[in-house]
Amino acid sequence: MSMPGSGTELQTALRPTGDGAVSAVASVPSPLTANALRERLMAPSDPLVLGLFRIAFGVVMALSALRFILLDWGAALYVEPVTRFAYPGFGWVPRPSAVVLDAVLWTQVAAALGFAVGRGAKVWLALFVVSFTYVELLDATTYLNHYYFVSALGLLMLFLPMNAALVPGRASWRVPAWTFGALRVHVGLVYFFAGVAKLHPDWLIDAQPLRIWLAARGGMPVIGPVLDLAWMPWAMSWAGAVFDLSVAFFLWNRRTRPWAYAVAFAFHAATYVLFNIGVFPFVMMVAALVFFEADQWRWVLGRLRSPRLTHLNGGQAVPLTNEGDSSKSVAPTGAEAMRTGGAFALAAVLLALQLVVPLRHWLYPGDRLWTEEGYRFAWHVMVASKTGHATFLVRDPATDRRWTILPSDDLTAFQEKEMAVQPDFIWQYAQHVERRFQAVGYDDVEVRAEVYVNLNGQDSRLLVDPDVDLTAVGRYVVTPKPWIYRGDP
Amino acid sequence: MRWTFLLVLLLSFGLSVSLVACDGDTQAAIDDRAAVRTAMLADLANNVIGPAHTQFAAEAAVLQTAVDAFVADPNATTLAAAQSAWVEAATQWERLSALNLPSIQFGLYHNRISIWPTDVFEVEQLLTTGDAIDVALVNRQGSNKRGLPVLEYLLFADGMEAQGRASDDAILAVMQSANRQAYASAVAADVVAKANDLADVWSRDGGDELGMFEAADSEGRNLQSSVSRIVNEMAMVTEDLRYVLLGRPFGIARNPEEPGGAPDAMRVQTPYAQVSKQLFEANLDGLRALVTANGSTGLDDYLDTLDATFGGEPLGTALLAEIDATEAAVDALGPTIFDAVSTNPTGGQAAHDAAGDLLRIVKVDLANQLGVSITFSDNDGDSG
Repeated sequence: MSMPGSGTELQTALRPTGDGAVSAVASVPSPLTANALRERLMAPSDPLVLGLFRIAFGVVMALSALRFILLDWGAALYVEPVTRFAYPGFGWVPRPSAVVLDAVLWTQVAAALGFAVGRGAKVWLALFVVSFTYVELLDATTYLNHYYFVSALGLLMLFLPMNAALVPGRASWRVPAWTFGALRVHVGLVYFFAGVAKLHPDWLIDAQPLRIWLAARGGMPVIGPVLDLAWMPWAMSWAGAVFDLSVAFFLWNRRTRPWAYAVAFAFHAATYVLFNIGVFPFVMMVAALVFFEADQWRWVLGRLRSPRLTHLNGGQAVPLTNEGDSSKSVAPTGAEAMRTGGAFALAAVLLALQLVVPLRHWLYPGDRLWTEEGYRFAWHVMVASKTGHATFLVRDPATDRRWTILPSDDLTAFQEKEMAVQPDFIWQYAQHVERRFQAVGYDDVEVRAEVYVNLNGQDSRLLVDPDVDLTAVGRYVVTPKPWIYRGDP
Repeated sequence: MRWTFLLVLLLSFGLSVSLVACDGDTQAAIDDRAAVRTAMLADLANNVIGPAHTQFAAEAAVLQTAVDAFVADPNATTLAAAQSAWVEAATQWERLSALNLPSIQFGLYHNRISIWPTDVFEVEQLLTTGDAIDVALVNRQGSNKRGLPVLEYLLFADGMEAQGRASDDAILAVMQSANRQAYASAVAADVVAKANDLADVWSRDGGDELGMFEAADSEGRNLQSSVSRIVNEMAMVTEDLRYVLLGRPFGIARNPEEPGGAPDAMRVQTPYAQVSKQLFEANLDGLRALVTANGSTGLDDYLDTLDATFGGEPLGTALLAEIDATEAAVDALGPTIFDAVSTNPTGGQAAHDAAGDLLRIVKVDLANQLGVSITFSDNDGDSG
């Protein structure tokens, strides 16, 4: 048996609409006019991919939340800290007690599984997105690219018919082709911008931070000597950049897709083995599956010969019609067409944001790896090794008394590590210090920060101006922070 | 096809850059790195960690003998011998501070041997309860009523009102108390027991932590790897040197509840024995031993194989220079830190700053160059 798509006839049939859609236009590529584009986007398609992706996403997210619970990270990261760092505009997010946080985390598990099953998928997904994002908003020091990815992808899926297939006891119905495209574009943008982020002299010329990280792993069994090969950091840096920049295109291309996925799988497996990055590789392994088309999935499922799966997906012989659900028309009309159009518009807005937000760091002066301005939400994945140490110097102008504040006295080791390399957190901590002093009667102290940071193995140097009273300057959420040292002080 | 061509082109270019750029990192040097790393762990285990613990157990035994002789016949000679033995044991103990590698097991031993300050009020209460005073009683006490700090109090102070080192006569006078004598003897015996236990945990014939230290090869981000444990402990010790041993007595307050600018000599590490400076320098000796492995293959050699630099010189050299600079700043305080608190506050601030420079290079540059994370949290992804 050959893979579908290996034959010329089938390729031709699939090219116009993708995802197993069959229509009159399918076999005759039309010029890319507005109408043709609309036809392609709205072409009724086999929803199997959405169903499979829903199940995979739900299961992985449930396991991720369970892992979080079993490792007891909730208390350590969100309950025990005496203070926290907020995202701009989200300081109001209420802190949970340990019991409430446990309930929220278990809600994540239940909601993810409920979403995977598919009945009431939108409600379960909304519950998951809200509970997951709520936890992420509790403390900005816990920001992880893949947490943000999960929230963003979840939000996008709220506008997609994720329950159109593989829902027990319910028939499938066709969905517009753009729904798959939206997911693929989102995943593709993550890869692409992760590649763009690597177009940096540190990465390409100095092979940093991989030189540091691989050297630190030279003692690993079996692969240690390979990591110790002199050219390995450069080779891995370039291969990683080329992979990130190109893999989405190869995944999009039907002919190269299986090979591209094999490479992606190996890439993520390698990052899991080499770097301590938790569930992130598994999230991306699942996310990349969205590029496969329905007929390719049917081929795989057929090979598995699982009666249960065959039943669920209707079997390879099932015609791609709205069987079993006459209320859903092949070509959306009337109210449903409007709804679909609205969903399309909202999804387009979300994707447009994903296209623009990662580019914003170009608007800031200086090296974004150093300033971290425009750095978050831009898929800067593993491009910086930063270590810092921050000391805060307090002076009461009324009495000229001075204090040297050690952040580890009231931050967790994790918070201190993150705070000491990120200007926004340094500013937030200075405000926290001022509040501590106000609580014991010092109404207007000055707080200065002496912060040394080592970026990618360069000599440590001052990150912020140590002469600036951080309680007297603004946070500068959007505009460049004038109190950052952007070059050598 | 065009994409494939572009991909091949990019990869070829990347490979060319790799071959050109890595020219400085010759394979011979890299291979040497692996060998040096292995040698470093072995030498640190065999030449630093193991001998230091054995040495402390021996010093503790000498201390116990001297304390027993003193309580059996309290006089100026036996007191001086006991005091001298205490200083030797405490100094050796401080050399171990940087070897208290993050571990709950080691933490328990260290807490029982030396947590300061001693709660002198509770110690005096304990001596009047009427309970039998023996090792069993000591074993039931918390960390602030046992270990070397309690012995310092008993051997150098004449009661809880003491504000510094007491005269020999005053010490001998209070040491006439049978309970005081028994407690000193029991605490010394307890220190010896814990010192032997700790040495046994490290010993290759016992718990073989030395073997495990050697085997936990350098995977810097793995918190259990030996390199990670070393760097984390160096950072913690240096932080203590700066903020606790110097910051506290010199009134460099670190929270608003503390009265900023109020020096207090009784907050030095050893207010009664007044050897805080010697113990501070012993801590620096401990750090130095990790860097040089006492003349064998140490952290400095491993850093050389990584081409790690700071300010244009090898990072190991820079690290040793900062240790020396801190020692010089502390040495400049005068005979004792206790006296310097009142006579040389400017010197105290300078020593505090010098320790800050050392902390920076340990916590920031050393950790980053070795790929070590200064934290004890696990990780669930990449924060970017």
